[in-house]
Amino acid sequence: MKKKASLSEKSRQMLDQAKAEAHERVVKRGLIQFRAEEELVDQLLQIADYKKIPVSVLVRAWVAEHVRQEFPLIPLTEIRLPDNRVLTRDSYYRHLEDARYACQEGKLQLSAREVRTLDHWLLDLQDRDRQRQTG
Amino acid sequence: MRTTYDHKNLADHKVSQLEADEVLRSDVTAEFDLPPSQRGNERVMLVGFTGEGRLLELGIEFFHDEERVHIFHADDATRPYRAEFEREVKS
Repeated sequence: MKKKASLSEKSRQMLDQAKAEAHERVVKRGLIQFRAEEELVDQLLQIADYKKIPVSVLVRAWVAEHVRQEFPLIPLTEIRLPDNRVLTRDSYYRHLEDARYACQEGKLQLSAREVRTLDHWLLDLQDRDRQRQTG
Repeated sequence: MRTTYDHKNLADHKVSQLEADEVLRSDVTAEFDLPPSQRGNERVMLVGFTGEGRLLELGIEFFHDEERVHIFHADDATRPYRAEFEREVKS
């Protein structure tokens, strides 16, 4: 999300850290709740009854299956290179492009997910550049 | 770094600590400038969804000397914040 408050550097750091710690607390709690329409709840319960398993076990298995498929497709937030440089989506276009070329030429070994992330950032930067040029 | 909560404010608005954490951790939030507190600390209003889909506004105060972030306010997002949040999401 783009909307950012005009915070001092110190407060921004504190907010980023508080966000990371809140994420950990939510993860450790291990509980996700959601609302669903009556019809969906009814059908879920009937499927769980038919399979003779608790509905939470059924939903957890389905969610886990989708997470296994989707998670590798989500871009990374950073890519650490062998020389310890860290690339992010805010890195200079030239640095991202250099890494991509090095990868294509076999001079840099990146995982498929890292390559997908690099491509995603490069396309994003190109889009933003095009938007700036067209005003 | 510590995060503290005004538990009375949260209880008054029927917001749990978990819900406040869910909004705080989210990347899909909008931030709004607030005037400093009476103590002179920087503050910000964060607007975002809980895991269950409730859109909340979180008032946050920064205590630099204590390395502490204090959530002094949490409630369902008011109409102007909701509108601004939706505008941001669409953009």
